[in-house]
Amino acid sequence: MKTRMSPMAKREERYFYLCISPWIAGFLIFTAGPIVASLFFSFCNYDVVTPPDWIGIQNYKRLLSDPLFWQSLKVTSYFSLVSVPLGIALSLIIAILLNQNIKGLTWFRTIYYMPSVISGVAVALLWMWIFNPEFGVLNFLLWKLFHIQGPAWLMSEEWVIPALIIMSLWGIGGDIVIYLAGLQGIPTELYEAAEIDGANSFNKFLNITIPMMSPVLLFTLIMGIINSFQVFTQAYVMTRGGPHYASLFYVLYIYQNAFQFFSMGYASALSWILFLIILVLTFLIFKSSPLWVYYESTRER
Amino acid sequence: MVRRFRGMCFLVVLVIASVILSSLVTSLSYAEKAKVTILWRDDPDEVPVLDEIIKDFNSTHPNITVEAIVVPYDEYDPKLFSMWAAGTPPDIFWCAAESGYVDHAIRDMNFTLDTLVNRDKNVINIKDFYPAAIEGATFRGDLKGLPFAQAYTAIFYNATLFDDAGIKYPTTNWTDKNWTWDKLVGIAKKLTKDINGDGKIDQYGLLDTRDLFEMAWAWGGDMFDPNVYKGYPPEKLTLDKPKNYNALLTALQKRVDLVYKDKVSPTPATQQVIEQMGPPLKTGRLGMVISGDWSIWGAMPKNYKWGIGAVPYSVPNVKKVCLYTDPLEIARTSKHPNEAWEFIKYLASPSAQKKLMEKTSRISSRQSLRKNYIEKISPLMVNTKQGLDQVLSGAFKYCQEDAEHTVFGFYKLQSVWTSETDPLWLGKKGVKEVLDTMIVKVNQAIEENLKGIVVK
Repeated sequence: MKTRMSPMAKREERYFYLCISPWIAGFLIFTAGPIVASLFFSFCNYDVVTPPDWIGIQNYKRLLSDPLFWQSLKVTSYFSLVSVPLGIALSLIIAILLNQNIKGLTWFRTIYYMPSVISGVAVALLWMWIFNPEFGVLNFLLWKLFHIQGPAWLMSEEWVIPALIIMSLWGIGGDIVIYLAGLQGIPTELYEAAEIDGANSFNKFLNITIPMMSPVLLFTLIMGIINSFQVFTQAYVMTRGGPHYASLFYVLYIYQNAFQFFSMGYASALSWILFLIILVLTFLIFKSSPLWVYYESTRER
Repeated sequence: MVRRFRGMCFLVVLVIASVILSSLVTSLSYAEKAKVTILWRDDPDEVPVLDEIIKDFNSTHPNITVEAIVVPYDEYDPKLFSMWAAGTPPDIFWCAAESGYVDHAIRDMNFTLDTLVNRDKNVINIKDFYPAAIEGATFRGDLKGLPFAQAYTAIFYNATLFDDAGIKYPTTNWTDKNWTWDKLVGIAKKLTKDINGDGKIDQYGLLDTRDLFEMAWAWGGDMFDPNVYKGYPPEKLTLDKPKNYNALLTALQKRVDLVYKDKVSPTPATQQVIEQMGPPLKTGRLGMVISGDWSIWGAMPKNYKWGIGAVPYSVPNVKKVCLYTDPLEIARTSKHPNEAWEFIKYLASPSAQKKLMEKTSRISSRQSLRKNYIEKISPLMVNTKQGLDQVLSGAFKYCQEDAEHTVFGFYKLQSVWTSETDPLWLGKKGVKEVLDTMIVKVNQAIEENLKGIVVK
């Protein structure tokens, strides 16, 4: 039922639109505009300097028969499939460890969060040293501690993605902080009640911690997948997509096409496919969430 | 309440109006002065000199204001192209990054300068420029830019390491028949050393950084049709001709041998470490580098002596190395092309080029300034002044302009062949296998490039 607005509410509404107008203008000009434009360009042959030439769905056709498109999709999915669950599991474990009543919690929290504040390029340069097959600290330790001859890491087609996954764990500090906040929000009486019922630590973790943390896990899962599909800096700085396309991430391939090969039309088509992929994945996760995410406030499961 | 709302609306309108008004006033005050923008890369040596030259120019040309837009190397092309798309191109630009003047010319981005050069021939004295430099700015017979600096290819070496090993320095004579690839590898072997005796090589004899097309040239072949270098888009690689194919095949095998058979060049992993320490030659871990003269740009470490030599014959009677020309271009859609030309003339004048050469490590495109360049670098080098002059004569004689500047869509082709040859340098695959796949892939990229030319 629609109710008539009071004059006061009307005035407030006007103020609302007036006050958010800069944001709306910014969104329309700097975000929505380019998005619509890129949809148009994706149907054009466009080299940025010459006016776009409409070619219909040719860019999308080309994409299907472009081995590098499939390669970049494969590389990105591989990275995403391993790095996201691994990152979530590891940061949850560390968060739980940090959630014990230990001395110097704030110190540990700071230490684990610290890597997240260092900029991507600096981190990338640092890890290039760590991964160097002949002089890097990683292979040095592998040899000294286990007598294992380490792989060529960034210079090996097989090991470059595992290397970048290991490196991605460097940034889990952000998730740890979120999990820690979530863990601290779980009421202790739930654990106490479980203890009275004779539950052991594993049961408590499985039946209390996980369900209570599931909204947070949902959030980090979605953000993790979106971020992993947008990996760029590491590949751009460290490997340039190599060796032999083994680390040609999807966004790097878009960048190459747009700003190095000046196939802006093709790059726009690639971007729209990426958008659809992320949209579908997010949609699926959301659709599946009633099965595994528990919201305290809704009380239905 | 209503009044307050009106008041707020009024305030918003007032702010917007004042912004518009103030920008109007500024643009009006600039109206009688032509503003010329020049897009430059953020080279720490070049930018201060450029600023100085601009300042001099602005003070002697009251009707023109030149302004430099400086961006990082990686952003040069994206900036150029996006400024173009926005309808505000820089009036002057050059091939500072990956796209060459031919890429620009095919997209109709630059003016032809022949008429202007002819009109001002007394000031410009085009004969003073290296003929190769003028050729390196010519597109299908039209001059598309005025060169302001060059880079040349030679052998740059660490003379101290030669002294320690008791070896004679490489010759400066480009036509010395005895100066062959095998001789070079022989010297490189003597310079390769495990200094601390840990079983790992610490000092390498040679690093050859030449790209594939240069390797093909050196071994008597070519990856492209001669017309391609004049500005006609390639339709396929010319590696289907046995002569060209075999030249590149041999060249690649020789390069792989440097690393895995002769063991005088670092593996990609070691090379990465060396490059992280600084420009490879300056780290003191390399005896010789075949590259553009950027190997000796900037300050040279004082604990070593340095030298320059001629590139050897890879096959008898064939000698072709890369020359890199930086021509200043005027944007086709510039609002002030005449003023932009005034500044280009100024920047290409002997006095400005002399200044640029003295404060940076770049060699001028003007032949008359070669003696100044030699004066400048000879204190750093073990070579005699005659020796340096001999090296430079050869470097500018046996040269052809960098394919990155003259071949349409070069960067895409290069990135394909760089990726395709990765397994080769890593010692994972054989030369023939890699080369055969590479040819197919590069030809596909060539086709995509051709389709990418927007029909008007």
